Amino acid sequence: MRRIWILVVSLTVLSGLLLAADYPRKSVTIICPWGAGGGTDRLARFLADELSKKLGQPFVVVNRTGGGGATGHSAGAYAAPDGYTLTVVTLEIATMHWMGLTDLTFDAFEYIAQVNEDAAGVIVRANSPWKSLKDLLDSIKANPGKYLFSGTAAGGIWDLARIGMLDAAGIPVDAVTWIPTTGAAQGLVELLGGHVDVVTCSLAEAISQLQSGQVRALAIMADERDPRFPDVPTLKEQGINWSAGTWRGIAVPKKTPPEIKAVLEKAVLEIANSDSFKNFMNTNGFGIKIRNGAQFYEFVKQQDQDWKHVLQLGGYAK
Amino acid sequence: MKDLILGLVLLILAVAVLFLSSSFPNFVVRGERLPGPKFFPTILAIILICFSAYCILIGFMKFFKKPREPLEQKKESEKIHMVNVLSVILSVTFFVPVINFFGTVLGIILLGAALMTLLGIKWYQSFIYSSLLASLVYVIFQVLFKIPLAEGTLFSFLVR
Amino acid sequence: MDLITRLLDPSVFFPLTIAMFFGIFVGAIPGLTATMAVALIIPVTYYMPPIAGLAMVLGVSFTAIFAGDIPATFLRIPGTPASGAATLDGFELSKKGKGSLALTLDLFCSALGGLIGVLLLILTAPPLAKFALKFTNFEYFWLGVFGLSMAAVLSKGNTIKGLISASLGLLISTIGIDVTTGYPRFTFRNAELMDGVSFIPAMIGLFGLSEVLKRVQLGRKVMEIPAISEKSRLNVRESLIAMWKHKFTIIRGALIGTFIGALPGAGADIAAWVSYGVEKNTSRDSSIGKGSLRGVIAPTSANNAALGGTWIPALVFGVPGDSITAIVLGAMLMYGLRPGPLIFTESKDLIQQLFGVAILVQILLIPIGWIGIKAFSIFLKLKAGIVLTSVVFFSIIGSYAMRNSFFDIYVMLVFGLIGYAFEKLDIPLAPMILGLILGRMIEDNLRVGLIKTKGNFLPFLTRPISLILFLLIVFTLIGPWIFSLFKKHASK
Repeated sequence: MRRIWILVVSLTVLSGLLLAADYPRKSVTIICPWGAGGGTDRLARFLADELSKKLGQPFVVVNRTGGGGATGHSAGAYAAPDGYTLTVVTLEIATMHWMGLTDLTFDAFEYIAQVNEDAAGVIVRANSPWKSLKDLLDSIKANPGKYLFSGTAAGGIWDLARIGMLDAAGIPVDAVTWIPTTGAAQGLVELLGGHVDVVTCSLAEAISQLQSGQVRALAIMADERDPRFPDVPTLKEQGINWSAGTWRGIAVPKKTPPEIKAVLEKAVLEIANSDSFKNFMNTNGFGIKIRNGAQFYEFVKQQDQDWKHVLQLGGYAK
Repeated sequence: MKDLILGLVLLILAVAVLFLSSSFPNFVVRGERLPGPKFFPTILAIILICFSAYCILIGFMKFFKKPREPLEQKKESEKIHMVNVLSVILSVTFFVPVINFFGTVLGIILLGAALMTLLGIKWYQSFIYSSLLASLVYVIFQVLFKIPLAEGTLFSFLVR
Repeated sequence: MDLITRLLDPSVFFPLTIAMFFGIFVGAIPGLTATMAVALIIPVTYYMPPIAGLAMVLGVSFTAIFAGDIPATFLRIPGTPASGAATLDGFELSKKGKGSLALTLDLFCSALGGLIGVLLLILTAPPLAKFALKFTNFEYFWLGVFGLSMAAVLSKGNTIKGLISASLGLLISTIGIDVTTGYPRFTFRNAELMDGVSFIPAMIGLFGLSEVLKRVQLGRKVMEIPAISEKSRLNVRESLIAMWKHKFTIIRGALIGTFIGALPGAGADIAAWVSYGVEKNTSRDSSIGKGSLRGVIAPTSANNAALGGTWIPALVFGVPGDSITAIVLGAMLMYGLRPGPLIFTESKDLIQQLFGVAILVQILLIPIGWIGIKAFSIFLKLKAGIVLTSVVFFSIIGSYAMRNSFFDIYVMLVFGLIGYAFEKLDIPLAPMILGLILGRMIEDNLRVGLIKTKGNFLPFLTRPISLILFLLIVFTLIGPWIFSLFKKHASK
C-alpha cells in the first residue's frame, strides 16, 4: 500500500515538473472579468499578444463578465492550477467580498505582476466657482448636504474614493450626496449638463473633456503627480493623507507550480518594461505601475484592509 | 381554466416577491427615507395581486357558467405533439453535459442528428446536416473568433 | 473626390464588404445577434487601421439590424432583438404570400432610414447632443414610461393580459445588483445573476426557442414552414410605389429612431417598438398588426435610423448610445481617438471618412441585403426539422458566446418556456420585452431623481422637458379615446 502511495506521489511530482519544464505546451486562456472593448479587455488582449510572441503558444482572451466582476474572478480562481488559465485581476477583488457579493477573496489567487494603476481625480465644471480643492472642501463644510457627487454606481470605486477623501479630510462622509450612475462617462455627462456638482473618476476617463476645457481637475488622489497632468496637485500636498484608484494585474489560481509562475512573472515583467507597452498604455490613457509577484500580493493585501474600512464608513459592508 | 391557472401562478409569484423583498434594507439619505430596493418589487407585486384576483374571478365565472365543457374533439392540426416539444427542451437542457463529455463538435453532431431524426428527417440526412451545422459553428466561433468551445473529457487524454 | 477614392481603396472596401456579408449571416440566423457580432469583430479590428476597423463595425451593425428582419418575416423569429416588431406585420404578409414584397420594402426602408439617420448624425450631431445634455433622471424617467405606455398601445383589445406581461417584464428587470444602493436583489447569491438576467439570451429564448416549440408541437405534417411558394424576386416597382405612398411613415420612423438612438442607453430595439406603437396609435389604418405595409415600414425605418443616432452621443461626449457603440468606444480609444466635442476638429479626416463609410454602407446594403434574402430562402427550402434544429443550436451557441457562460444557455431555455407558456395563455410577448428593456431605466431614474430632490416628486412635473414628456404620455394614452368621442359627437 505504501509503495503505491510513493509511486503516486512521485508520479504527480514528476508530472508537475514535466508540465513546468516545457510550459506552455498548449494554448493558454486569459480570463478578462470585463466586457469586450473596455479598458481591461484592451489591456488583456495586448498582454495576450505579447505573451504569445514571447512564449510561442497562443494566449487567448476570454471575457467572462457579470456580477460586477465576480463571475470572471471566480472562474479564474477556481480554474485548474496548471498555469493554463490566467486572470486579469482588478481592484474589485479587494471590495466585492466585503459587500457580500461573493465569497471569493484576494487569497484565492497567487499573484504574477501588476502593470497598471489609475488614480482618482476630483473634477468640476470649467465654470464652477471652485478653483482649488480647499475651496470645494470649505463649501462642503459650510453647506453639508447641498452638493451632489457622481461617477459610478453606489459602492463602486469612485464612490469609495470620494468617501475615503472626505473621511481623511475630517468631513463626515454624508456631507455630500452620491448620485449613482452606470459609470464615469454617464457621470461626466451629468456634470456637463449641470445636474451634479463634482465627479470623482480617474483623470484618464475624463481626458477628452479635460483637454477640451469643459471640466477642470482640482486634485488627484495619488502619491505623486501624474506626469500627464503636471498641474494637478495631489491630496497629500494639501495635507490630506489619502490616495485611491483602480489597478490591474495578472494572477493565477492558488497552488500553481512555482516554476510556471516564475516563467510567467519574468515574461510579464519584461513586457511591462518594454517600449511597445509604454506606447500602448499612453495611447489608451492608462497609468503604468509595475509590481512583481511578491510586491503585488502585499499591495492587494493592504488594499483589502483599506477598502474594508471605507466600505464600512459608506455603509456598504455586509 | 386557463385564467384560473394564470391567476394562481401570479398570486404565488407575487407573494414570493413580497416575502423576499421584505428583507431588503431601507434607504435613508440625509435623514430622508427614500424609495429603496424594495420599493419597485413591492409595487409590482401588489399590481400582480390585483391582476391575479381579476383572473381568478374571471376563471370562476367561466367555470360556473359552463360547468361541463364538451369533450374537445381536436383536429389533427390542433393536436399537441408533446414528444416533439419535450425533445427540444431536453436537447437544450442536456446540451452542456453532452458537449462537456463529447466535445462541442461531436456533441452537436450527436444531439443535432437525434433531434432532427425525432422531427422526422431520415437518419442519414440528419447526420449530414448536423455535421454541417457543427462544422459551421466550429469554424465561426473557434477558428475565426477564438471563442473557446468545450473540448470534452472523452478526448482530453489526446491533448495532454 | 479624394474621399471617394480613399473609401473605395481595397484596404477599406474589402473589410467593409466582408463585414457586411458577416452581418447578413449573423443577423439572419436567429440566436446570433448584432451586438454579439460587433463584440466578436472588435478584437479583430484592434490590429487594423482605424478607418478599416470602424468601417467593419458600421458594416456589421447596419446589415445585421436589417437582416434580423428576414427570419422575422419568413419564420416569425427575429434574427436580432431590434427586429421584434418586424414579426408582426411582416409575418402576416408572408403568410399571405407577400413575404418577398415585405422584405424588398423592408430592405429599401432600412437603407433609407439608415441614410436619414446618418445624415442627421452628420448635420445635427453637436446641437442634438447639446440638447440631450439637458436630459437627466427626471426626463429619462418619463421617457422610460413613454416607452412602456407603448405596451398598452400594442396590446389593445387584450389590455389586462398586456399589462400582466409588462409587469412581469418589469419584475424580472429588478433582478440583480440595485445600482442605487449596491444591494443584490433576487440573486440567491448566484454571481451570474448579479448584473441582472442577461438580456440577449432572454430575447433569444422568448422569440427563438419559444417559436420553435410552438412549431414542433404541430407535428411532422403541419410544422413545415409556410413555404415561400411565390418566387422570391425583387419587387422594386411595387416597393417604390408603397414607399412613396407612405413617405411620411418612413420620415416619422427615421426621426423617432434617430432621436431615441441619440439618447444614451436607448437603442434600435426601443426605437423600433416606439415607432411601431406611434404608427399604430396615430394611423387610422386598422389593418396594422394584420399584415399592413405601414406596420413593416415604421419599425424598420426606425431601427436602422437609430444606429446612426447612437453614434451622436458616442462621438460628441464619448457616451455610448447603445450596447454596440459601448463596444465601439473602447476600440476608438485603442486607436488613440478621443471621442468628445474636439474630435470633429482634431480628427477631422477620420470623421469625414467615417461619415463617408456610413453612407456607403446604406448603398451597399441594397445588393448585399438582396443576396441575403435569396440565401435565406434557399435555407428555408430545407425540411422544417433541419431548419428548426439549426435554430435551436444557434440559439444555444449565441446565448453562450455573449459572455462565454453556460448559465446563459439555461436563461435562454427558461425564457423560451416562458414565451411558450405565454402563447398558451394568450398573453402578448411584446409588453414583457418593453418591461425588460425599460425597467431599469424607469426605476433607477425615478429613485436617483428622488435622491437629488430629497424625496420631492414635483420636479418630475415642473421641469419644462419633463412636463412636455408627461403631457405626451397622457395624450398617447387617452388621446385616441378623446378623439373618437369628439367624432361620435360630431356625427350626431
